[in-house]
Order: sequence, then C-alpha cells, then structure tokens
Amino acid sequence: MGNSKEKIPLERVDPYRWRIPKRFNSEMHIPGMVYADDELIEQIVEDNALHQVANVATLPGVVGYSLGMPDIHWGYGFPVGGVAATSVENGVVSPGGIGFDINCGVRMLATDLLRDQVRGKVDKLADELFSNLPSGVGGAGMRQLSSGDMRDVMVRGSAWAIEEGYGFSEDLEVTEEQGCLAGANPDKVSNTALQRGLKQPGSLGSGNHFCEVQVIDHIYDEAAARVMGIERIGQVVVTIHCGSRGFGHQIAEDYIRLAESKQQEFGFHLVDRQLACLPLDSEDGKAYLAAMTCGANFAWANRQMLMHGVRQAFASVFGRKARPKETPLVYDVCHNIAKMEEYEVDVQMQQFCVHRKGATRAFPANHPVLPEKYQAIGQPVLIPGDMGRYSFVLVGAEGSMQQSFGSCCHGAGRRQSRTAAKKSMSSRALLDQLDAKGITVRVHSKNLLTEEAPSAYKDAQKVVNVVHNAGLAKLVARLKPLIVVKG
Amino acid sequence: MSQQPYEVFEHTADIGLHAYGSTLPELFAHAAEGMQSLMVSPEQIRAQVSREISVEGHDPVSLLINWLNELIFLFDTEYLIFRQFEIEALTETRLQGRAHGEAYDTERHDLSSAIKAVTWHEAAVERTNDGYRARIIFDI
Repeated sequence: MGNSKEKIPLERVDPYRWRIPKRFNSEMHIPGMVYADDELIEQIVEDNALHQVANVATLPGVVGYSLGMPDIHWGYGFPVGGVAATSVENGVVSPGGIGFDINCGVRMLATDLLRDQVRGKVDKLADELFSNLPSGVGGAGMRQLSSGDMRDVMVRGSAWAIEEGYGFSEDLEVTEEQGCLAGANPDKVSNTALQRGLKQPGSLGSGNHFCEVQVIDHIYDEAAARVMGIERIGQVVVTIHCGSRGFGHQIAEDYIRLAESKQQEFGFHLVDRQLACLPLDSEDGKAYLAAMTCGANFAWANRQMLMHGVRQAFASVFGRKARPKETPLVYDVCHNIAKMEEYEVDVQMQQFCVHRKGATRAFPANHPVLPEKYQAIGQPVLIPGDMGRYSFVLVGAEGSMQQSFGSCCHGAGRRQSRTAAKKSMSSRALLDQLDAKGITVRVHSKNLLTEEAPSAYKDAQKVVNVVHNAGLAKLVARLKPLIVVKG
Repeated sequence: MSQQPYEVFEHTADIGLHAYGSTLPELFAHAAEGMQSLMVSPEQIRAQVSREISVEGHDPVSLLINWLNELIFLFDTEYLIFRQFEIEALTETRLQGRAHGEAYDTERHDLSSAIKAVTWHEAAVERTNDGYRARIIFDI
C-alpha cells in the first residue's frame, strides 16, 4: 500500500482525537483533526489517509480543522471519512471533495415484524427483494425516463418518486432535506450525465451498495429508539445504501474536469489534481453546486424508489400492505455532499460550505432543520458496518456542532484494499462463512462480493464508540444482518 | 518491448493501474486494455462491434482520463466492454481512436470489478527510459 510518503506528525489531544499540526506542510491553512482511539489510529496510519487530511487543509478558504472520522481511509483527493468547511467569503467548493457518488446515502425502514415471524420466510423474502431491487453492473433500474422526467427528478427528488407512486408523502419528513435540496438547475448538467442517468432510476448498482434486512440486537438508548420506531430486541429493520449511480458520477467528472482546467486561471496550485476547486462566488462554483444538487435529488428519488420495492417485497411475502404504517421510514441520510450550513465561529453565526466525503450529518436535538419527530432526540445517524457483523443507529449530539461542523462517521471504513480482500478469501468461502452465521445472501456477481468481505472492514463497533465517546453522536441501537442483497 | 503492458496496484477503497508504452499511442491503448481487464478478462471479450472515440484534453493526463472515461460512459449507456484499441491520431490535446468489443453479457462474462469513474488522484503520465508510464486510480 502507498505508505512510503513522509511520516505525518500526530499529536494526541485526548483518547479519541489526534491533531495534525499545520507545521507538517507549509501549504496547510489549518490543522487536521482525526477521531480515533489507540487501536484505530494504528490502522489509519497504514495508508495515505492522513496525507489526504493534510492535503484538504490546503484548500483556499478552508476553516477550523480538516477532519478525519474514525472510519477514515485512503480515498481520492479527500480521504473517505473526511469533512472540511470553507468560508462563503473567500472559500471554494471542491467537486472531488463530494466525490463521484453524489448523495450516496443510507435509509432505514422499521417493520412491525420480529425475527421469529420472518424465520421460515427468509429465502422467499431474499428472492423477492433480489427481484424487486434492480442491481448489478450494467443493469437498468425500475424506470427508463424521458429527458423531461429527468428534469423533474433533478428538481424535485423524492417528491417526484412519491408522485409517481413510489412511496408516501410522510416519507419526506424523515428524509434529510425532505429528499430535495433547493437550488437545482438541470441546465448545468451535461447531456452526457443525462444519458447515463436515464436508465438508472430505481437501481442499487454495485460496489459497496446493498439492501440488508437486519435484526435489532442491542438497544443502548431505549427512549431515543422508541421515538424512531425501534421498540424491542429482535425487531426486523431494512437498510438501503446507494447513491446517484452513473448520473452523479458524470456530474462529478464533468466538474472536476472543468475545475482542473481552471486552476491556473483562479491562481490555485493544489497538491493533488483531484482536489481541483472552484471559488464559491464564481459562476463555475455556483454551476457545480446547482448540478450537484440535481445529482443529490436524483439519489433521493433513487432511494425512495428502492424503498418502495422493499415495502412491496414485505407486502407480498407477509401478506400486508406496502405502506408506512407497517414499514415506516426511520430516516434517510446522505454521506457524500456539500451543504451550506451555519456554525458559530468567533462568537457569531457564519455560513460555510461543508464538504462531507464519506461522513454523515449528525445534528443534535433542537436543531431547527430537524423534523418535529426528532427535535427531542436529535437526527438519526445510520452507520452500516459490514455484511457479517453489525450496523448501528445513533443520534447526532451537541459535540458535532462545536467540533465537526455537524458531522460524524459514515460506516466502518475499509482496512484492507479490494485486491487484498479478493486474494484473502474465495467467494465460496465467504458465502459459507456468512451462511454459518445465519446470513442469507443474494448477489449478482460473486466475484465482487469478496471485495466487501467483513474482514476488509474495520470493526464498526470501535468506530461508533469513538464518535459516541467524542460527543459527536450517541449510540441508540445495534443491528445484525439477516439478509444481504447486492449487485 | 520487454515490459508488461499494464499492472495493478493496491488502493484501500479503489484500485490502481500502471500502464506502460514505448510510445504515447501505445500507452493510451495499454491503459484502456488495463482498465477493461479489471472488469472482464480480455479472453472473454469478443471483438464484434466497434466504436469511434474522439476526446480532448489540455495535457496528456487530462487526455488519458477523458479517453478512459469515454469507455466508462459507453459501458454505462450501451453496456459495451472492449478488448482491442487503436489510437488513430494523438496530439497533445486530442485523441482519436477506435475500440472493438461487445455488449456485456452476464451469462458469458465474469465480472471481476465494477469501475465507476477515473480519478485525478495522483494521476500521472511520465517519460521513462523505455517510453512512457501512466498511473491511474479508478473509483469502484
């Protein structure tokens, strides 16, 4: 792995925080701050993630700290698990800092079923989910859209999907931004991106994207869990992880290319071309944000459609209706996005462009943008672990507003490369291992499954413990996988 | 030429490729072969259809990235995978080439990786004693 670069100096701030001082690199405008315990930091220093935290600290107009969450690992440009805020006065937006999969995110539905009620029907449910949720490489989604429909999707997000029959209006309240970020402008999206998106609405895709049926295994905070509709151990929930598919990738690619070609014009000399950025107050910067918003709204529509497929699968297998009463949406969070948000800096509220690259928003209780339902407990934070061990539900905590621009981790984080993961285990051995744990798998490409082997990931329990202990978010419940559906 | 056309290197979240060529056109063809081989082994791909590809860039790195991205676009929109590439014309800022392959078929093609994008992270096209070397990291 690429760890041959200069060693990064790390200063231990407390048991969960490590500072990368500005002196490491004269180009850094701010220090870095990485959230990890002693064990996780040992894994983190193994790849290039910390150099990327330092690189992000060189972005024009970046403020506070360049942040690394405990699931941090080597990405491209930004580390995965990276957060950075830039000033709206003199700052930039870095399209690569949002990433290719714009508004990749997670949503979770609760069900009124217990594990025992599902036991005899696991295979049937797995088959039904696999057939209802288009997935895999090169596969079309639930709908092929016209260019006109696509414009609607770009502007309206989840609301478009609901109007087309994929879900219900009450789903919107429990979706980040109500499933539609304002400021979309389809004219800022290329025809190439449009072409890539037309066939893909309502599709999971491949890679680390999935739909999992999970069982509540442990409840840390009963009161918060109850507000979310998580009532007891053994309750069945469903998690969907996916994003904006080729559409978002093309938007990212178009604007990274544009930004890259204009770095000299803007007078930027960045250490990594993938960090290429655009001033927030420039026409190009505004155009990117308007196009990114189209990608984000497409992703919300996509997850909304997939959720409908999940509800239909449960309806058909358990003879009930596909509606929120039986399968309520708990929440939908995005973890690859730029948001204009306000934070108190120097005793006054200021607006920043918060880049979250593999990081989840984690607003605490009483935050004005949260739905009434979650005002008292804070925003649900959904953290998938790996397909063999567990995933977690948390709520945002006050510390996130003071320390991390309202953000926390987004997953377990990889510890092993895809190539190494593939070499270390055959797909047959992995399927056997999952089967022995009582996990039913449906997958299009078995070859791709081994890249996602549990052993390729950090221990998600350790990752969420860090954000809990650092005060960024609070643990609510732990979930164990029962069915895994992947591309 | 003694050196291999391409080799894979490890990256935590994604996958990296070094491509080699005694000339720039050969480097571009090898990079495309390397990227396709990460998805489906070339022996499994038949050269049944071809596509004319023309891309522009402002330097060799951007030209290489745009060339590879065009292949990803053809996969995403027409499900095409390729095994053979001809670079017909190449300048500092423009490439014209042809790719030969077929539509991806889940029955016959064993997919080993799903490449979603070409990144600029540490991307490079360099002169070497034997010609050229490119370094590219793909988003998976």
